[in-house]
Amino acid sequence: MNKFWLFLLFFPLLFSCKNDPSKTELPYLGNQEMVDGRPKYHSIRDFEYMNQDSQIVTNKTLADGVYIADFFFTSCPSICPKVMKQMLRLYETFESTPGVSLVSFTLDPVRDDVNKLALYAQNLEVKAPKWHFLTGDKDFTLDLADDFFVAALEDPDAPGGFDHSGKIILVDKNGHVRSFCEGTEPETIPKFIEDVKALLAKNGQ
Amino acid sequence: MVNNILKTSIGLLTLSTLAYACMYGTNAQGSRIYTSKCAQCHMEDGSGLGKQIPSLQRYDYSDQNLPKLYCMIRHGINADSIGEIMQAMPAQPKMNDVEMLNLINYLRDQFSQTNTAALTLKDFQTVDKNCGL
Repeated sequence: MNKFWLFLLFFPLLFSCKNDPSKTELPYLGNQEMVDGRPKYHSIRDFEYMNQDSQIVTNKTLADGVYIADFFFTSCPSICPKVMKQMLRLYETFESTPGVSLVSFTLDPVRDDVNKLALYAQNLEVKAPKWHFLTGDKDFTLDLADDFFVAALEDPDAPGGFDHSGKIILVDKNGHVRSFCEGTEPETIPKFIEDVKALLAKNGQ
Repeated sequence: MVNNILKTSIGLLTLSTLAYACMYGTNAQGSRIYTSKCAQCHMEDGSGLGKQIPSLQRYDYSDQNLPKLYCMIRHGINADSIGEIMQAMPAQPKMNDVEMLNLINYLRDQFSQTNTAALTLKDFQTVDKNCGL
């Protein structure tokens, strides 16, 4: 009898250690202000771009779900192929999962017009609206990268003319940055995939 | 005494050479060149990136294709205007023939489905080094 009570006492422990994605609360990354006594989290500014199918894509288009973003350009000779390889891995992981899309902003809109991006998407055998390749104003994009905590700048000495980091960023339904990984380090991807699932389990918020 | 020191150092040298060979394989130079000049785009495992960057795992490494392979590495590939090849492959004008040989042997050893016998410098004699340029 005693043993039975002892079992009951420890019974909840069986469940406590299970890693349940719906229980994981992802942090809000970036600076946080208090406005009227409520926290105001860092968020991505409003944007409007053209994708590889000549469709307008804005932050509102993407707000139906969460999205995974990176910055690149098609002629990039340095880190882009490695980062894109991991983006492709994420695409394959979430291809049939509703509520997740991928977004790649080109830093080189002069060379990367809609046609070029369409060809690039075709080469990767991926499609919008699951994966948007976006082209727009160059200076705006360089500023936008800041919101994603991606270092991006024009540099004539850099291979291909732009210097940028290979971060892959997870943005929630409300435009807040919730997780990131390094596209140049494949071993950081599994944790990132778990983070995407955890955010989806919370309805993307 | 001096003899002993000599024996010990020869022994140590042999050991460290063996250890090095075990760690880096017999083609250390080919592997190093691959990592520094090729893997950035073609990936460490040679898988490439979709149709954007060709996989090296499906290339024809046969002996009769050797001149083509040599010239492609030596002179690179230009991006074309219609955009079918979007990303250029850089030329390698500074690599000497021993480095070229070690790299090609590394590619054959790692990625060839059929032909993995190591080539020697003799095999390069059939290659037009100017590549018809």
